[in-house]
Amino acid sequence: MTVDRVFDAVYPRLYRYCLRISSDPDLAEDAAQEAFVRLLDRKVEGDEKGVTSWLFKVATHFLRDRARISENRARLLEMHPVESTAPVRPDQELEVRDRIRRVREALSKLEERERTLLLLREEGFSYRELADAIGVQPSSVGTLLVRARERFDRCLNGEMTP
Amino acid sequence: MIGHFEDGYLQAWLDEELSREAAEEISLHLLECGPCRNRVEELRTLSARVSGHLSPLDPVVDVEAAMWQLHQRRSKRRSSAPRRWNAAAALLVFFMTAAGAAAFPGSPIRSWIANRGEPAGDAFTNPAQPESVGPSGIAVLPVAGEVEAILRSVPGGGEVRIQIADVDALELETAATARYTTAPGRIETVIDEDPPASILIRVPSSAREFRLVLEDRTLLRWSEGNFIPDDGIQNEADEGMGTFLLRIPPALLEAESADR
Repeated sequence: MTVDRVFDAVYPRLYRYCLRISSDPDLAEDAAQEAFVRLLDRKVEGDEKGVTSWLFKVATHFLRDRARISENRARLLEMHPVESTAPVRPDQELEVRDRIRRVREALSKLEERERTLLLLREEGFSYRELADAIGVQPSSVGTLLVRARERFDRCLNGEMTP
Repeated sequence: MIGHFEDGYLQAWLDEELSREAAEEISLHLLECGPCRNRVEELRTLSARVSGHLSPLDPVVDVEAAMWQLHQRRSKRRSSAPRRWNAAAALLVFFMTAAGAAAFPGSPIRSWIANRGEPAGDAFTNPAQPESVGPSGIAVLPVAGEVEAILRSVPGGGEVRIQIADVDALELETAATARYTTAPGRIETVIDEDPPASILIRVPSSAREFRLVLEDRTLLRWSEGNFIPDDGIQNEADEGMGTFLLRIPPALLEAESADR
């Protein structure tokens, strides 16, 4: 197993997963890169499947830690609101932007465990790996996965409030 | 009459995550049960719909640019890290030398302190301090819940501390000069140093089984939450809280060498 090969195969998936979780391209890039930096610095060895799981786990923890910091920042911003100065990207159609916004909102309404489960499964992880990632028995994964998908679907259709 | 299967089983069947027997049972049931067939179809549609909704979020990733960024990030960190370590190591050596010299009877520093700053008379030569060597280490992921650490050429009197920790990979660290080779689920360490080595091994708490092997002999196992030392091993102590200290007696090492 060479790092180059793992990077080529895993980085795009890891970045996509991080972006779906965080909705922030910079943070997603940070998390995916950090996972690989730790892989190289700590000289973690293993087969490709094991290393892939490890990378996703590191990135998930990284995003979780950052989310906690963001929550604190959001609380402060709520107390002292700041006007957004982010430019609107002209290359994105209004409809697509609206769809992306709704998907992100729906994802944010899921519990953290549901979101992790849903998005890791989208990246093709097995039930055993999913069970390990969220700390449940593999036999529970099917049920939890159906619940997470149904909840996401309902949130997307505006049938649920946070 | 057979009841209906729960969603979790049907989803696992769709995802081909069931054992062959369980999958066959559901396949046979679906031939006869309309409601379950309909539910499978609903779950399949739901899964495809969710994937479809998520796809607009998919980015286009420039892997080459990302790889370049990764190297930049690492080299940036490396260029700043050693300076910190060098400064810390220099301070450590300074204080260790000063403390060592002050503790030595008749040392000039001790005399200087005793004489309240007056120059000392006869001076002893300060004994050489051991060189401070930064720890080195390696990590390897378990395979099917099993990991193994093999030690070779460990000098007698060496100390191995095993900690069950919240880590994903088996981590081995030592300040001694060492060479490492790894295989899936296994670290082999050769200590290239005469003074007794101190080794720290962190075992993932999720590992089902860990083995510590000296040359060809298993000294200690960690299995099902318990440390199981080899019967012939003495000078060991279960320190509790998932930590085990093992001192390697010279006799053991000699016996191992003679066996070989």
